[in-house]
Amino acid sequence: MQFEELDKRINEAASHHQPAFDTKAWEKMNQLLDKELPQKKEKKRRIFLFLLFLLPLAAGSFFILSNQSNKKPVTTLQYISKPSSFENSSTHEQELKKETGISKPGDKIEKGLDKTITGNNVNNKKTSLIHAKTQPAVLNTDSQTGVVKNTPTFTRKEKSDKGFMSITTNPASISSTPENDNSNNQTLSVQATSETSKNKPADLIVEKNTMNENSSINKDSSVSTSNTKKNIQSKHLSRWALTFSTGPDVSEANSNSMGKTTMTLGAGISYSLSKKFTLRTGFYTSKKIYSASAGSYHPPAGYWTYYYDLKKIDANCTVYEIPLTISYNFAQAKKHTWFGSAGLSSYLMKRETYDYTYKDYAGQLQNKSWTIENKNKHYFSVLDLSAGYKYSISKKVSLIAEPYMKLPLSGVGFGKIKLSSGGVLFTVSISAFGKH
Amino acid sequence: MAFTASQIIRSAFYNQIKKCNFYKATFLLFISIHQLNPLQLLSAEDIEIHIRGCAQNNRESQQKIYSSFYGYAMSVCDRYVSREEDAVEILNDGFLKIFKEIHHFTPAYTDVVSSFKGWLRKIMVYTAIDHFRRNQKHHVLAELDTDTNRFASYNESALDKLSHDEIIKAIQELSPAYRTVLNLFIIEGFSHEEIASQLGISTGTSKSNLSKARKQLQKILFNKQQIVPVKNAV
Repeated sequence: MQFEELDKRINEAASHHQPAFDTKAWEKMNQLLDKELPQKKEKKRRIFLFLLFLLPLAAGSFFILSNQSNKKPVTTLQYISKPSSFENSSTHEQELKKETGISKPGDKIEKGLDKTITGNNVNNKKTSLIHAKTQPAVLNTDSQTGVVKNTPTFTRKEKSDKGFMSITTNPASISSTPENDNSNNQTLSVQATSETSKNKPADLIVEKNTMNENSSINKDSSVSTSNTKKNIQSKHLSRWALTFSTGPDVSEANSNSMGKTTMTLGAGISYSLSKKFTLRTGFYTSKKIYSASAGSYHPPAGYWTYYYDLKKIDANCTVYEIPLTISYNFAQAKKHTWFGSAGLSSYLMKRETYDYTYKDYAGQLQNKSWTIENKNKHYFSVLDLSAGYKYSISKKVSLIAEPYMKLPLSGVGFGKIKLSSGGVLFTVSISAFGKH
Repeated sequence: MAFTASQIIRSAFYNQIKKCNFYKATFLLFISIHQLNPLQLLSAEDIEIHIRGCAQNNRESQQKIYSSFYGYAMSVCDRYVSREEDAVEILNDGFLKIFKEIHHFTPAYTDVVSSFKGWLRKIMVYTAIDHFRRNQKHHVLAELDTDTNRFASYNESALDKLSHDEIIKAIQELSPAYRTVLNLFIIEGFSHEEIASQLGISTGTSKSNLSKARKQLQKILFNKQQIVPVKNAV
């Protein structure tokens, strides 16, 4: 009994004892947690995702650009007549053949040279012109054939044994001619420069008219070169388009009831890989409001020890979606296009609010709400399928109506729910650089 | 162990209450409230949310729970050791166990916070016992000097003069074995049999250690307050 009062005072002291918070203690605790309960490092998938989006676009652009650059410059193919005054014509022809592969009219040109002769060079160098009769010639390039008409005639007046003839071609002066387009008359010029000094001036006959033609042709060539480059550039740019979309969306989670209809809103870009295929991506935001049964909700292990008997979960989630899809135009008219599309979408769960309805130990129905933000991210976890109709209002603007369906490849959100969505997306597509 | 500002203010507040100086006590109470860590003032709902967050190994929730229950947990831990570093070690080991097992936590009753506090306290006590067993394998029980018989009892008024913090401080100065038995028996309510099984000693040793702990505590308190013992007290 003698210690009764002491014990009482000890208990009082213990119950009133409350040390203040020490931040240094938490620093030590944090280090201990990092060691014993490390957090999963958020993989820096944003950069990876960004690169993954760029990869098909870069590949497509590279493919198209490489096709453009690999087109061999068009060399003229002309009938080269043999002037009667031309001596050693066979030698000359052989040399020509070596340089250009031209042997006779109609032969394919296999080689193109990139030397050009300016007007000054024409004056400085002993230039002779190869005149050829104007004859329709078959023009072969890497990918196209065309009909060349109205070629100027050139007459070679110079003879040389040792000098070699470097035949120059001017690809800029020639643009590709579609097979079905016979309306373009291409003007071709072939100039040959003799670099030998042994030519007798008397043998050089330079016709003024021809000279004038040459100088004017050179000017035209440089202008048309830049025009062609601009055409190529504008064609690439015209393949890009901006899209702005909105539409109704409804979700369901393996339950008998459909969720609430909400609106999807977003913007994106598209790139036409070809006339048939288009690559699309963008950024869309939508709300997913649905109800799920306890069986379809799969939280982390041990979570349900907190809630005794879960009956229902009502979810309200704000989702950011990043789709990556490829479309195929299976039918096309003048202004109308019908297409099908497939791809994968990534869901970034911006905000998840879950309302749990459960029974407590006493059998009473209880309700608890929980909100988590910026926690769950699901990359390429949703299969995106759609089909649609596109109407081209003008060369730059198109309207698209696209019913879609999104099927889960894995669970989304905190409860890893297999969330399916469907709706219709109405899109305005704007190509700032022309028709695509 | 040095007292913090809030401990000093609270000690002064209780002293003013004893002296019936309510104006000063109110002023000190006002000051002590503002000394509280605002993180400790989480609502019950917030605590429930963060308990769930801890189950997901959410670091922010773990920090909130740690700071909210730091004072309560440390009040248990620092009675079992004399050094602040050891108290922090026991506290952090205890919280680590809590965070590892929090997904198994089931509220025993509707008051989730009280259920959690009870569960937390139990873990802290057992962590302190583990720390004692790990570090005090060879219990050295110092012989008490004969002077302890002079402090067989105290006048009640003498005990009233002692503040809570002084008593806690005195408990911390006890020998490790005495301190542990005293805490487990008097404060935690363990029986001698339970103490014996936890510490790996006999029931008789537990009773002996408790008796000696009380006498040593009286000696320490006497040295602190220079309390005049009552002779011939029953």
